[in-house]
Amino acid sequence: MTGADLSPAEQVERLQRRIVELERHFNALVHVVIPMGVGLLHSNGKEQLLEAILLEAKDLCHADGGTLYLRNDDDQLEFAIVRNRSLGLALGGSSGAPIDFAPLPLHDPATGAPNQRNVATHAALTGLTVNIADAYAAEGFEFSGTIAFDRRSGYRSTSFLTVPLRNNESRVIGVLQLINATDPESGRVVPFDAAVEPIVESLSTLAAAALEVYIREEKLRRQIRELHVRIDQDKRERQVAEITESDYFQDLQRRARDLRRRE
Amino acid sequence: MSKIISIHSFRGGTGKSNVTANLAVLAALSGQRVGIVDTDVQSPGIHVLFGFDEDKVQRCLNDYLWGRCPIEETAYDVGDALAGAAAAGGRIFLIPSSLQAGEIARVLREGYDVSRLNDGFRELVEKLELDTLFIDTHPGVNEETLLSIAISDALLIVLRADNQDFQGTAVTVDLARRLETPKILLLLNKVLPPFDEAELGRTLQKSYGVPMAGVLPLSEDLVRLASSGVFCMHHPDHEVTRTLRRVSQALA
Repeated sequence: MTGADLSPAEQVERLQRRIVELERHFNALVHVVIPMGVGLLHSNGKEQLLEAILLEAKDLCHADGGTLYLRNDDDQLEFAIVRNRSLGLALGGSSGAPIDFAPLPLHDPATGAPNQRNVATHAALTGLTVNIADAYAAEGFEFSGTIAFDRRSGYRSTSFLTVPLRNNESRVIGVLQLINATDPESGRVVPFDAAVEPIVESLSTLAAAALEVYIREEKLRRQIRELHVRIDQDKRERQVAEITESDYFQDLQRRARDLRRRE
Repeated sequence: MSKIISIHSFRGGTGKSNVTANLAVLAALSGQRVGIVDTDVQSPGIHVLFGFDEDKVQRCLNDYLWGRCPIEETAYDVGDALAGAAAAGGRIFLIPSSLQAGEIARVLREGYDVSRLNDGFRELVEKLELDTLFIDTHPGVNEETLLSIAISDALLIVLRADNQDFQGTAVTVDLARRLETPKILLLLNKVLPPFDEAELGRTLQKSYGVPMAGVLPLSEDLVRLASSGVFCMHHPDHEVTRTLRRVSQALA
C-alpha cells in the first residue's frame, strides 16, 4: 500500500504513527543505547554490562524472556544468561544460579550439517536478525529444538526476535534472543514490532563489543593459569657446567663455603 | 646479625633496580640501616629512583675498586627519599657506580679485582653499621654476580614470564644452589593482570624447586613512576606495596 491509496486523514494518521515511532527510536538511542556505550567504555564488570544489555532489550520490547548465548570453541552456543518472567527463570549472570541447559551445537557433530532446528543457531549460522511471529508456524523453518524445549518446560515459545552478535571482524560470537513480546495492555503474546529491530541491533553491537573484551580477558586469564615454564634441560646443564667448571667458580665455591662455616 | 641480599635477574628490563629500591625503602621504614650497592657498573641506574643528583658524586664504587678510596667514602645518605618517615631510625646509604663514560669503558676494558668487592661489602656493613646490604647486581652471569650470590644470605631472582627469563633463571638457581646461598626466592614481575598468584607460585615452585616470593603486575601506576621515584613511598597501601612487603619479610 502506498501513500497515494490513502485518504488525507489516513495519511496524517500514518505520519503521526511514524513520528511516534521515530520519537521512540530517538529516546531509546539517547536514553538507553548511548549511555550503555558510555558504560562499556568505563565499566570493568563486562558481565554485568552484558546482563544489563539483555535486560534493557527485554524491557524495550516488553519481552517475556531473553537469553544471551556465547559461541564457544567447540562450535556450540552456550547459555550465558537466561531470564524468563513467566517461567520464573533467572539463571547465569548476577543470579549466581548455574545454567545446566546443554549447549546448542551449530552443526551436527556426526554429519556436519548446519543445525537449523533452533532459532538461536539459525540466527548464528546465517548472521541475520530473525523476527518471527510464531516459531511453530514459521514458514521455511523447522524449529524442532525450540519445540522440544517447550515440551520439557511447559512453555510456549511464540514470537522471537533473535539478533546475532558480531565482533568487528563480522564473526558471530554470540546471540541475543528475546522471546514472546507481550502487549503491555492486554498482556497477550504478540509479534515483535519490526520498528524495534534497529534498536535491539544497536544494543547487540554494544553487547558484542563488551563480549570481545570479556573473551579476551578470559583468554588471558586462561593463559596465565596455564603458564608453561619451558626449560631446555640440556642447554641448562651445558651452561651450568661451563660456569661451574671454571677455576674462578670452583675457587669461589670453596671460599664461600669457608666463609659460611666461619659464620 | 646483618644480612646481605642480592637482587638479580638474567636479563635487563625485569624491573630489578626498582624492586631493589623498594625493598630497601621498606626495610628502612621499619627502622633498619640499609645500604644499596649498585654493582651494575656497566649500566648503573638505581640512583635515579632516589632522585640522586649525579653531580654531587665525588666518589663512587669504581673509585673503591681502583683503590682510590675506602669504601665508606663512596656511600651517600639518600634518606631524603624517606620523606620524613625516617622517624623509626631507618637510614639508606647508596653506593653508586660511576656514570662517566671513561669509567664504564675502563671496567669493560680492564675488569677489576672482584675479590675487592667482597672486602668492600664487608667493610660497608661494618663501618656503616648496616642491618641489611642490598646488592643490585649486573644482569646475566659474570664474576661479580657470582661473587654477590656466593656471599649473600638471600638471593632474590626477578624474572618476567617469558622463555628467555625462564631459561636464564634455571641456570642462576643451579649456580646459587652450588654456591650454597641459604635462601633463594623468585619474584615474577611485569605479569599482565589478571593472574592467579597461588597457581603461578605452584608452577614456578614445581619448575625450579624454589619458592616464589610474589607476583607483581605490569601496572600503570608502576610504569608511570618507574624512573621517577620509589613506588612504595607514593602508594603505601597499594596492592603492589603489600606484595613487596611480603617479599621483604620472606627475604628477612
